[in-house]
Amino acid sequence: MGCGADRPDYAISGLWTGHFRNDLFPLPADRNWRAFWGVFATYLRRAPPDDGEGRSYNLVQRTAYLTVIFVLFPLVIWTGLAMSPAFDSAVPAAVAALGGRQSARTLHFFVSGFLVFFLAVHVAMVVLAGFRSRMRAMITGRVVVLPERP
Amino acid sequence: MSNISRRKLITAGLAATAGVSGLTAAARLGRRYGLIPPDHVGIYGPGETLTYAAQRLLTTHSLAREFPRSMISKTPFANETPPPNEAFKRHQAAGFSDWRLSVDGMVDRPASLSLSELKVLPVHSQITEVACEEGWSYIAEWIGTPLIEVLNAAGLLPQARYIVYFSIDRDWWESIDMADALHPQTFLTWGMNDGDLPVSFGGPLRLRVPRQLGYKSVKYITRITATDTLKGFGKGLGSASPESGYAWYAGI
Repeated sequence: MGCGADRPDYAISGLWTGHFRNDLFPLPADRNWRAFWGVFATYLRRAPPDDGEGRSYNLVQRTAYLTVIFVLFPLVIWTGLAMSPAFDSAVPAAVAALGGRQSARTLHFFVSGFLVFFLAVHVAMVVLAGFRSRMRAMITGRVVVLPERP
Repeated sequence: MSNISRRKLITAGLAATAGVSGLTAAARLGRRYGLIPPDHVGIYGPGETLTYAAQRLLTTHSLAREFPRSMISKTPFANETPPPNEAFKRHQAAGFSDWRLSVDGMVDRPASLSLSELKVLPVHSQITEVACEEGWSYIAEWIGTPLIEVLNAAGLLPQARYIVYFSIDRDWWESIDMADALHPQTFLTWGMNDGDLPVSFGGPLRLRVPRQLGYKSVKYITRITATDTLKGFGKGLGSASPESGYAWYAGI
């Protein structure tokens, strides 16, 4: 799961190039629950995606990515460090703030569970969206939007 | 696809040279300042080395968190091991009156101390947490003789870099670097929660290393050795733990 805070190069380049700001933060018109549930409803109805979907992330995807990059990864690292006795001796406040070692351990368990869930959904979506074209887009940066299948 | 230009080839060559010389310099600096653990070999070696080097640069002098008396665990988990051998059973039957700790290796005055001789040295106590790699943890008060007092009494030589310590069961041994050996909270522990250290918790003598996971705190200690190299001990990986897949440095 190489993205977010465990990949400082990714986080820094994302901030530097404006990738997070331009591609991940929800568009102003989308910053409300209605838009959010709208996208969800599209999934539930299994409606075909509109043309823009191939080129940018929709609101649910953006929310999921931002949560993973800025919430779950920092949390999993923090709770993981909190289980290190040497880290505890150096920065005791960071462990105490989580409620001690055992609370950190419980949080770590659930956060890693969420990350595994995200990974499973993420990979499933890539497969459903067309494994080869998505992999090509990820590696080369070129998006080829295939014509609708009949 | 563009062809590889001469410029690109030269840049890549320079970058590779810089990378290799950078790594060589890092390895030399690491050895010089003691940032390379004895188990730096194998697939986990680079990870072990990064962890240990980072910890030694950042946490060499940090103190394990001490807790108020009210937070002492009511039912600490002993993780009981059966008495290691017949010799231990004989000691146990005799109330550990003949238990001895030998101090040897790179010291001026090798010694063999009885428990009562050990208790003549300055006594300290701490309320700290034991954390096992299995996940469980508990807080207890530990009473004992700081290892540094024993090493000073024996006249530790300045070239010593590691302290190796052995259980009465000779297959159970560990070692720590001087940052942990001379650390004020590293105790030869003989008391727990205002009583003698119970056998189930490592009595009569356990070396507690509170800034590392529980498996570094070996029970039933009979021997400590000061050395400048871990090559001659076991497979030379530092302790019995790396030989069975655990990290030598368990501050994690």
